[in-house]
Amino acid sequence: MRCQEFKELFDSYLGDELLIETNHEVLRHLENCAACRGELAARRELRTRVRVAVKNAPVVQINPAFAMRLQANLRETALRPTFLEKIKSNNLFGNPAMLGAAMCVLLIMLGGFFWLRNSSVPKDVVQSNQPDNIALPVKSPAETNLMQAVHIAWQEMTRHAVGDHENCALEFKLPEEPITLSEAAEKYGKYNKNLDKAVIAPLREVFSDKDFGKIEFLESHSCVFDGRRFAHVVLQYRTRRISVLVTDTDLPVENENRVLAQTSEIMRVASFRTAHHAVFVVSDLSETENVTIAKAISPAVSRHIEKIEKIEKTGA
Amino acid sequence: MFGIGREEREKEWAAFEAEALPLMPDVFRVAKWLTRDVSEAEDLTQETFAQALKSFHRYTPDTNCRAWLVTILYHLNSKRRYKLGQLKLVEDVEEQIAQTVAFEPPIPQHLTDEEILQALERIPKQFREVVILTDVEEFSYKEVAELLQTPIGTVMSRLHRGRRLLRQQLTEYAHKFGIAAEG
Repeated sequence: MRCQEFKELFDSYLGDELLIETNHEVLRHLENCAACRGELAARRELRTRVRVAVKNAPVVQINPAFAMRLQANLRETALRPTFLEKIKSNNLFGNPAMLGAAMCVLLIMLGGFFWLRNSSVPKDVVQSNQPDNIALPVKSPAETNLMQAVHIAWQEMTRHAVGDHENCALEFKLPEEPITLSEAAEKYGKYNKNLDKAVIAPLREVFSDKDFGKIEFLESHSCVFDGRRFAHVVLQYRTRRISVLVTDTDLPVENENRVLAQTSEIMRVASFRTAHHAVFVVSDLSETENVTIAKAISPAVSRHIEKIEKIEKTGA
Repeated sequence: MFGIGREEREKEWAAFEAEALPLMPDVFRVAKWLTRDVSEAEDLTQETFAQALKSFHRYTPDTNCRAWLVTILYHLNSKRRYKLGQLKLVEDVEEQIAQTVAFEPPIPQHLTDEEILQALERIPKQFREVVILTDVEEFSYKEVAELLQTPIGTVMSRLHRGRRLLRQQLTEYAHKFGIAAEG
């Protein structure tokens, strides 16, 4: 090798990026070539001087007040008690007055949410051709109570889906070991079989041509969280876990296959229904990303489940 | 049952405090070079640490926490740039510059840190970025390639050209102010 060729290796040599053999060749050459030794020393010096200059530059030093504030905020976020802990610490369940007040607030919030859910359509989430100002049909008190009960049950199911995502996909803490989807298909419903394929195929179709990043399939199984069984497909988008969870339900369906978005404090939930099943997409992605995934899988997953529902109905 | 308990949260915070927080000045420094604006760099640092805290359970302890944090920072920065409609520089700038940098001038002595920083400011962003990530922040070629989502060969050629351009800038500066060059 000539000097020019060695010089081309000097950057990698300084960065300790050369193979051992090439490194030895460079060292042997340096022993006998004063010009290259000088060049290498100059490059090393430049590297050191740049490092020192940049690291010491006042303009790139963090403001200590900002650093302390950020650290305090992060600490507060990290150690903030959960909603349930707050309730426990306030001994809410042991105090009838507090419990009554909390129930009233909860009912008002649920009523409000339910009214909003029926009166307005979330933008970018629901495909709808309803006019903006739609008159709410007048409902009897019995109907309203029923709807509230349905809504509470739906919220409970959503909470289970989020709980399953957190305790199975993010960190496994479930008391019962999951079983395979094939095994679940025999015991708990044929829709379990090949559910993972129904989830993955449309994602590949939708996202392969876009710069949306990689969505990887991690695993699929059937698991139980807090007494509710889910068919669970776990995906990963970059470093973030996404759960697609399917569970049986006989709650009445308002709009089949319509994707609804819900946001908890940390997780994003998008859901859609078939006649006897509810499908949840849970992740900590942005709401738009989470809903995009739910919308992408909704037609194929609904078709897959509805095919089995039809067979089971005619079979029965 | 729903979410993690206080004891576990305290444990996770202690690990985060020990591994991630000491790297805040490093993360800010990279953010500052990327954004060229103090308040934007602070925003980006804050978002990076908030995201890192949220995802800390996915970080493997005692691995390269700095590279992990800077990866989050780059990911968030590209999202911000996308939102702002900022586009990447056209790639053929590299070729144009490669042809204009045909020699490696000797490095002038007696330059101050301030003069070195000014020279660094004058080289195109894509070369400066690689020089800073490898020579200052000491990331490996592979780590830089992952951060910039560029092939490793591109990282190597940008680094080579970036260092050459820097030398050229320093020599010009030295000539201008009559500083002796050695070499």
